[in-house]
Amino acid sequence: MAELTFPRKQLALFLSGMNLMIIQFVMIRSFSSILAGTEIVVMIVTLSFFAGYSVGYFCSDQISVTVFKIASVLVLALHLTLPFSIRYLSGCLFGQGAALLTLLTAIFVSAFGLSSYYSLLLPRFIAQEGRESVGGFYRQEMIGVLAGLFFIFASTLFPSGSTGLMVVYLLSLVAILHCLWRSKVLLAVACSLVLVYIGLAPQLEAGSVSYLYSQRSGNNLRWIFSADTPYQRVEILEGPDQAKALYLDGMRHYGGDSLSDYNHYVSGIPASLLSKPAVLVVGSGSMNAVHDALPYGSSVDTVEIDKVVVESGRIYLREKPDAATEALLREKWTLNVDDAKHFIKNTPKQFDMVVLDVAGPLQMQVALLYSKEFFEIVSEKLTDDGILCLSLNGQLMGKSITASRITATLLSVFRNLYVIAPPNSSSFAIAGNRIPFGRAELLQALARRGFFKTAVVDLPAAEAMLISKDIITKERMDIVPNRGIERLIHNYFREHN
Amino acid sequence: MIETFFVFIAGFFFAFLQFSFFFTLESNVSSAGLTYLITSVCWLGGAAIGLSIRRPVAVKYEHLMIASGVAGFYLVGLLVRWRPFDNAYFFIYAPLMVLSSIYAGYFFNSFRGHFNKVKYLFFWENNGFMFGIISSFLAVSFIGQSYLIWILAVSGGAVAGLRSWFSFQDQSK
Repeated sequence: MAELTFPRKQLALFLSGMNLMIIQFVMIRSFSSILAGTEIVVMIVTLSFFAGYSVGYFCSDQISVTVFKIASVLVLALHLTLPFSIRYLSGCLFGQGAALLTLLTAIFVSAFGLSSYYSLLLPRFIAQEGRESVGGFYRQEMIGVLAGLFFIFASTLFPSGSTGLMVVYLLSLVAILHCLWRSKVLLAVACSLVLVYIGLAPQLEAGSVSYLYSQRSGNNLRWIFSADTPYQRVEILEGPDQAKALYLDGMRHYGGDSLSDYNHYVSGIPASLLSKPAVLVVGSGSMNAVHDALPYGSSVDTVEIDKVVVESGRIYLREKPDAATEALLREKWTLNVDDAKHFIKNTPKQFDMVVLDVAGPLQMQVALLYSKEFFEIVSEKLTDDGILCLSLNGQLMGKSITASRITATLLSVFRNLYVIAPPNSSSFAIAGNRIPFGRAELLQALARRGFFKTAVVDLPAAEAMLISKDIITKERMDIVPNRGIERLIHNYFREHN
Repeated sequence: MIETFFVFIAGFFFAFLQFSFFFTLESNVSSAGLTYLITSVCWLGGAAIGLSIRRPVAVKYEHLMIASGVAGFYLVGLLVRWRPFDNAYFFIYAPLMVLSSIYAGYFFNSFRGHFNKVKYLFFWENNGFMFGIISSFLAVSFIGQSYLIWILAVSGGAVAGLRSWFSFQDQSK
């Protein structure tokens, strides 16, 4: 290494910057899926990743050239197995009931196996070239990080982008190692291994995702689709009964009876009580909220930030891909790929019904959709009789703080509200200033769909059930860390240990 | 010891500033990937510009860089409140973010001679950066975005004050 030329050092730093960005993206997506990525989990993995930089910086002058070269080989060997090996390992640990160990492995791998190697380079090179090289060398690494960002966003535009991104990453790692080794034999071996990686990646992706989810759930699940997008990891799996489920960052977003009923409660039933409503569905993983509203609505708009979710939902999750639904989609449905806040604020349209078909407030950008400010924007675009329908992410009758806080937030914007309370799952709310139907009509509509045990709570009763009146605002997003920590304790410190 | 503290606080300030931009734009303009991309590219671009300033500049110019960083955030904060959810103003936000991160790059050139080994500069700055990431997340979650203004002013002031102190020490030698 001592004899490395200055331009080679610059190249190695550029490539290490690029790889740091790429591997951070790949592993945050992978660990989000493995650990069910709440904002807290993403924060833990991100911090572990940054801790790896510190480890590398600190150790940069404490390891010999020989040890460094051996470490390089080990890093290449480990990284050639990513992200599949992490899934197999985590699946194995989940299968043994060692959930906490899975979390600790994620932290350990992030801190010591991913980022630390790259951060060894910069201080070593500066120590060799003198302090004046700080600016030039560090700038090279920054430009590499920018290049990494470019490759990440480019990869999300293509169906096999995740594999393509890993191939760019591995080739870049091989180039770094070639700068250090300058051995044509090792270069040929490393390039051959990358070719093997390209050949095996599709089977390993399917196999590792199936194994992870099967071990975690205890059911035999089969991989159907997966993609890393700028927003999340999207995965679709099929169970033994052929039922498909959509997972966003490892959390089931659609699939299973309770989640199928969700669409009836927030979309089909309220739409059936309105006269030819103009409907907006915010988020649309399974497309079932759209399908439920289509027969009743004059128009149905979907706003979805992540195009991959809509496209994969349309291809893999349609329950009844019949000609009539296709015709209704062509006639009435419009897809808007945008952030919901941005879209609703800027659209000239008015809606009779807005359906919030999004995940729970476990991540900051989703939690903003449960804030007072967002409900105010929705309120501006609702007609006088317009309604907002959403899940309360907990049982209001079961003293859920989240359900109470979302209800309180709704009541800070809307004058009226009904809570739909199924016996064993989350409650749902229909809020508006002048809701054009009453409790009795809602109960009848529920009964028509077979929900005989589902209760409907009116405004005074709902207010009496609130155990917290803390509203969610942009200035008070504590619901995100609070729920994230609750989940973390439940998943890793209580249930399995 | 004081060098370590200064570098740690600087790392904290850089993380807090970067994440403040991100949270502010995400909640007031759009959570779309483009917001993250523009914020990241501008921040890295500004830092790369700062790293390109190799000749030492007077401390007053370093103060100016720090003040521009904080002022850049304040301006973006005002603009997004004036024009919420309007992507059209990214052409103003982008240069302000570049301006704000110049010191995050220049800082390494400015302070590279203060440790016996340069690795400690990166090590402690990175530790401060991690502390800044956690703090900004907790601040946004528990005390609200309005307080970002005060935390940035105080941490920016601390960085500027400590930088002056080191300059004074250097001149005394």
